[in-house]
Amino acid sequence: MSYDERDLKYMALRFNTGFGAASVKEVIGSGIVDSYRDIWDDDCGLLMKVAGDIRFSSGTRTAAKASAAARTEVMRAFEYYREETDRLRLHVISMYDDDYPYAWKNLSGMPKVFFAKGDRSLLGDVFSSGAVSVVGSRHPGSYALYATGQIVKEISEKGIIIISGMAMGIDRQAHMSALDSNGKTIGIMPSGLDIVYPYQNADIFDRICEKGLLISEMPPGQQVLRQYFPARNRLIAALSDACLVMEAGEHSGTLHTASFAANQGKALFVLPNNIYAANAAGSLKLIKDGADILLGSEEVIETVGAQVGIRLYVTGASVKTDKNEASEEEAEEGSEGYKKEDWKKRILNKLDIKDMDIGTLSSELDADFSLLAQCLTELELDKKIEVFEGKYSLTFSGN
Amino acid sequence: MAVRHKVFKIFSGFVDDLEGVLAEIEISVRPGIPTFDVIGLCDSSIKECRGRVRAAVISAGFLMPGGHVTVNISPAYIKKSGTCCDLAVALGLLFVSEQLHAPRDSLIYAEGELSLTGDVRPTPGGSMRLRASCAKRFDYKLIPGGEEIAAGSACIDAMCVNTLFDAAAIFMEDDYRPQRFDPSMLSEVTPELPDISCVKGQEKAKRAILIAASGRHNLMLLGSPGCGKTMAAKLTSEIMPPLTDKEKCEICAINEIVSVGEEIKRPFRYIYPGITPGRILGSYKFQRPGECIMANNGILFADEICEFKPQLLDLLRIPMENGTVSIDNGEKSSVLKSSFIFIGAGNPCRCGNLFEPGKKCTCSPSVRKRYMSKLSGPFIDRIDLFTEMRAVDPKALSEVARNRADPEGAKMRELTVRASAMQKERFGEGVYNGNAPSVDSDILRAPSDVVDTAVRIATSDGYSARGFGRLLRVGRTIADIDGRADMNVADIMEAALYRRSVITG
Repeated sequence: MSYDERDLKYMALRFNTGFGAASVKEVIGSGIVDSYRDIWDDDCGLLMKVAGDIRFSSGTRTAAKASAAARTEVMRAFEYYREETDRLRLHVISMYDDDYPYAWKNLSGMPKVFFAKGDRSLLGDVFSSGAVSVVGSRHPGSYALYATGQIVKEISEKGIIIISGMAMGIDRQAHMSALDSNGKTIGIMPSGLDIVYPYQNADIFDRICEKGLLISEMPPGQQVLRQYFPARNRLIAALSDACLVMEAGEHSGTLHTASFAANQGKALFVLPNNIYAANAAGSLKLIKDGADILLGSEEVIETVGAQVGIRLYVTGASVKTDKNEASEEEAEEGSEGYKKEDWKKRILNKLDIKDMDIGTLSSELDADFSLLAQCLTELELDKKIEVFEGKYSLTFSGN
Repeated sequence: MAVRHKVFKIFSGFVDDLEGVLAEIEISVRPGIPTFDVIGLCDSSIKECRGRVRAAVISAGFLMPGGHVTVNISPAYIKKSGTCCDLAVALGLLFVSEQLHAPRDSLIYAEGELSLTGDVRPTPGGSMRLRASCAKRFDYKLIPGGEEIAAGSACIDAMCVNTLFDAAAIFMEDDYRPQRFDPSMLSEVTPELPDISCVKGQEKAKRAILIAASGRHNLMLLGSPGCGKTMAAKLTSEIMPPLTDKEKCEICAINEIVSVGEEIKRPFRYIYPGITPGRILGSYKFQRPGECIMANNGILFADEICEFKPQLLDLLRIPMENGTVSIDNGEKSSVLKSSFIFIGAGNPCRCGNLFEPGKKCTCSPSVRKRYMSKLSGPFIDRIDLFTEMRAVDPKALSEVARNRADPEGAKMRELTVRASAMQKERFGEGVYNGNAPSVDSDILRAPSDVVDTAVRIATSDGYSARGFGRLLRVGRTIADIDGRADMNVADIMEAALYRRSVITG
């Protein structure tokens, strides 16, 4: 786990003083240093020089002066990062490393230094095998979850790396599905790598540390802040060759990722959803705006294959479609039973349009309530439908 | 000159620890400088009877005997309070001073508070005292006018008196005409037609309320603020069958402790998150029954259930399980009946809009989970029915407003009456599907396919044994509402709709 200490000092400067990305850019652009690594020297000579040089903007000069004054603080942070990096066995990866993501080199605003934990070779695999980012709502519908599970499985079986943001919902499903099918997955975290966020994901956090890779541009100890999520999303989009939007509400943060991906020239696939679905307005708008429609994993695999120019994918291996005809049921043993089967079919038809609660079902079907109740329980027992928080929805496994 | 030391015995009662106790009052008069002592661990409300008795005796036209008067109220080791011994003390004084004569060896019971003018007034706790008075066969039983309801609930023969002179006249003219008091005299406040507008168009909630009221199942209503949960809980008490005589007596006995002459109706007690443990179970110190004792035979309604401290709700676990509360004051503990339908109401999540169609719940899944996890598992385990509620459609509401006399409410009450009758036949009085001690499939008349279905549902849900029993109980009530002797699979299927897992994650 070798790294250049100057990288950690640079991080200490960036995250503990007002010396921001704009100032770094200005200093490097002025030509007085060759590399960001030279900005911080232990006696702050360069920073003092910048502070006194009227060619620099006043903001940069003030920041440089303040940073030089906060020298002990920066050094203390550096010591802390060094201890944590060793303790957590983190990788410190800089733009001078060979495995610094190729895609990031060509984009502006990418971190010069970032932290990683786990299997570092995955960064090389991103280059050689391609990567797909899978993003979506934190509380998705069962349809989007199911599709995520299926498509991620199919993609990661091809050796393509699955990238997501370690959040609940779609992100979690994507990581899980990749891990479960022995695929490779990279999680990009909004916080320092010593913090498991959200804590419910501690299980996949550990699994990814073992088999996959976690990345963060934040130094250890950095708490999660709201404004870090879009920044994290830009890294997700930038690291991948294609971006899959599984489900996004009208104001979802997922739309950030999508617009980053589009602006970075990545292929954008959106899972089509029911227009009445509660949480899909944003993703449907992306389709309207011209995003590709996600109809299965083949096209994604093809796009990624073309992107990275690998020969792995030659023919579209048979990928199962998930639409099976519901098996016809024979129910002729008496009118009562027949009536019930009839009602069950009507219920399934209603739920096919959208998820419903029992109040809506009963008013739309105008059925005897006891009968409706029995049918719902029987369908649930047969795993044809499932119920969550009062809403009934069709299952995918049952039919 | 030797003076005969005279002692006279008369009986009265007092309420100790929410329990009636028969008190034997001995009155002695010895010659000497006039004094008047009351002994026997009496608090000042009893001791002050000296002033009232003295004035009332004189107002009624008798003489206050001279000499040392000592009144001993036994059992003397129990602390007592209350003013109902006044009449007995006054009569005893008249007997011991030989201004009145009673037949030899006759047992006299008298209770009532005296005013200075000699009027006899009713006091709280009459029902419990009079019931305790049934332990002995009294020849004379005098009660104040105004305690008729209490007497009815205690089922006694007694004579009402309105003044001390009336009471004395009974003995002077030997004119004791007892009257029979029994529970049939207790009239329940005639219930109005239940207003079902709050559950209009909400079939699941309506059905859950009907099942809860029929089988005395504990119920949980979850829904957005203002969707009518409190109204729905009230409706549950309104559609319950008319009170039986036994229920009337029990309700009356508890009511009488707090105040006299309270009208009799099915209790609907309301507890809120800021309530103290003393108010829930009852505080010995103030002789006030707690809400869960007041709710006996009725409904205990906990609003904003998710805001309750878990310790408070856990206090309810034992009454919900056993139907009794035991109050312990360090010296003795007494067990009181506390058999009620618990109805909890709350928001399904922090913003409350989880079940509202057309509104978006703004809670994150973890917030939602945390919100519901405030209710402890053992507590939730005792709740048989869970239902969601939604704000009533304005269209349905206007329909209700137009024809107020909705016969559906009356019909629901008919169904609960039928279901109660079936349960009475099965378990005897006072035991219902919701609180029956065992779920024996023979008693519940559940054929084996019904039991198998219940097992199947229970295992698919990771249910406890209690969960399995719950399905059977609720299913039994559904069959009772239909008036069927045997349960069928459809009952269980419907019962499964009210499982918790249906509406929470």
